[in-house]
Amino acid sequence: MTTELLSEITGQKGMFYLLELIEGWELAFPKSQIFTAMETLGISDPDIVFEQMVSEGLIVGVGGNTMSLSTKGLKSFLLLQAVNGADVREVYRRLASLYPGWQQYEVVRDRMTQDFIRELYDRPDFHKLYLCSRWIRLEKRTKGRFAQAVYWASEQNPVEILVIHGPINRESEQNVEMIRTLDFLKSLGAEIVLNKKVHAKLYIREPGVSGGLQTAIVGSENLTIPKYAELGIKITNDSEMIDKLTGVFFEIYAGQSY
Amino acid sequence: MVTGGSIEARFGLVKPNFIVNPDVEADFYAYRSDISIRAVVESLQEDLLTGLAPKRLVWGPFGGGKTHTLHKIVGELEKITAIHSVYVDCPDLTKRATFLDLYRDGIMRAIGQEFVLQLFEATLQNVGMALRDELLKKLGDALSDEDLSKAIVRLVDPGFSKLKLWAFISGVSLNRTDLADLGQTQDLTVAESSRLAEMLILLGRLTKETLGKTLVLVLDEIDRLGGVGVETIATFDTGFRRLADPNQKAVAVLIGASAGGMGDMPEIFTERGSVMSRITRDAVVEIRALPATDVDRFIKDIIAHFRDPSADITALVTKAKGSSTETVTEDLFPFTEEATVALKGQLTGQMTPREITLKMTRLLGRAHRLSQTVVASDIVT
Repeated sequence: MTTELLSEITGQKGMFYLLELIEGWELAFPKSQIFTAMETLGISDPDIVFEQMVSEGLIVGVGGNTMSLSTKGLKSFLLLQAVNGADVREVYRRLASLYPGWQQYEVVRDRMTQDFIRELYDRPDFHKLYLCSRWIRLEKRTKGRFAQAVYWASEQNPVEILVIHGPINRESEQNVEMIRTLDFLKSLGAEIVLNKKVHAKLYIREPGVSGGLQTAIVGSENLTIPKYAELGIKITNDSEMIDKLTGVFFEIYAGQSY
Repeated sequence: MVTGGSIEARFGLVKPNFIVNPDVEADFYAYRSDISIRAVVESLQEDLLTGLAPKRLVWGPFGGGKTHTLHKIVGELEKITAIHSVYVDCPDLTKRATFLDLYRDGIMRAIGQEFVLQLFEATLQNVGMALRDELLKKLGDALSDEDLSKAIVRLVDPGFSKLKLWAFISGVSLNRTDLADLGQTQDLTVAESSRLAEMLILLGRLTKETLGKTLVLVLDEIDRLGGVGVETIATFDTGFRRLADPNQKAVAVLIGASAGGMGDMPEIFTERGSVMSRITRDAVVEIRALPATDVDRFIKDIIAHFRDPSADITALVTKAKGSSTETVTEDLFPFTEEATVALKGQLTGQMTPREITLKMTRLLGRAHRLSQTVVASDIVT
């Protein structure tokens, strides 16, 4: 007699839709809600299905008659989503978020700088920002997001922004947007230094007194509108490595004041 | 305009910044009047010598020196007591994270496969060879865990893949075939947090029995529990309550948490939380921002630590005096006295060691950029 594989259990008629429903609920929900959902989906033998889900660890009890979708349950659902045609990159991104250990070092691609700014906005608990990029040019929406992030962060801690940028030809019309962006950053309190030799792209955020997220991105992408195929590494909460990169940032911190 | 030469050479330093690496440079600990490393280490040693497994909570603002203090404490303790320390930098935890995520991706990752398997192999060796049923019984008694003994007994088989055992112990999901091979019906991904905590306690006990050392878990940046949702934080509460239990004598636990105030801590570590009632107030060490009276000495200690012993400081100071009207002394070089006063003036309310060392680094870079031979007060803006 062979024992059932997880894939056979999750492959039962209606299971994918059940997991999809559960994934959209609040983190904790009453046990009865699952049975109601199974009835709605026409799942036969709901008692057996429920027991299978519990024994496989797809749902776990979190106290009383309250259940929650486990990490394993969410992982199974995401993989089923991919099998059923969902965007694999998005599935990968969500899977990666389930495994914090993976995320300490993460390969990042195009839009890594946009994602860096978005994360500032989503988690405005930073105290210091170190931005090193040969060219910095933000479009309006990104500036708005960046400014809002800095305003929120300032409510918790004074925000320090250091920027290292490549040389600028103020006479060139091509640099108008770049100059506007640097003026914008300066209006938020950034100190900007120009370094004609800078080519490194390095973006670091440090938390305030209450701790929090510490990340660094080192890669190929300038802090501009994404246009090219890029590659980088995002480091999360590895204090030792991020401190080394901070040291490198300050080594490059040279050039004329803006 | 920079005219050449490295920052190190210009200012007589071993590196171009003042950033301290707490792991590698734990032996260095700049003076501060509010913390007695010696007292903390002695109290830990007393606990260890009397057979207790100490639990401590070290908290304070980010950059205040908690990590460095923890590394320093463990380093000093290692010199006088037999311990095996494991440093865990708490991973960034999502809203859905459970204690299993910390266990698997933080603690077990830090403890490491090699160490864990070594403990199990040593235990098996101590138990000695016997027929399977008898071996299982002996192993079960040694581990106080009949289920786990079925997994560990597989180490007897030279054809058995040890990775499988490690995957099981470290909390990774296993397929049914692998579970059957380990004599298990389920893996640790469905285990209660208390079971996971018991695994750690077992590792502590085996460390003591086989290596004669106390396992010390240093769980740093535990404030990252702050992102965990209310529905799953209970799993951490259960796990930590077991680890912090005063009757738990197998694993010492030193917890580091960044917080501006006690109220900023994750709920389970606040004064109202269940873990704190087990740790007790005596076991809480607050690492605040540096007392104002300590800043001068701290700056001098940092400079002395990064001073290049082969540099001709007297010559550098002489050159600096020739280019500045401010007071230049060897113990403060590359900063003038006036510059350090200006630097302190900028630090009001933020006098953490990290803030100070980053500011010093920034000023150093600025002075180098301007080809200055010393960091004078006009650079401090």
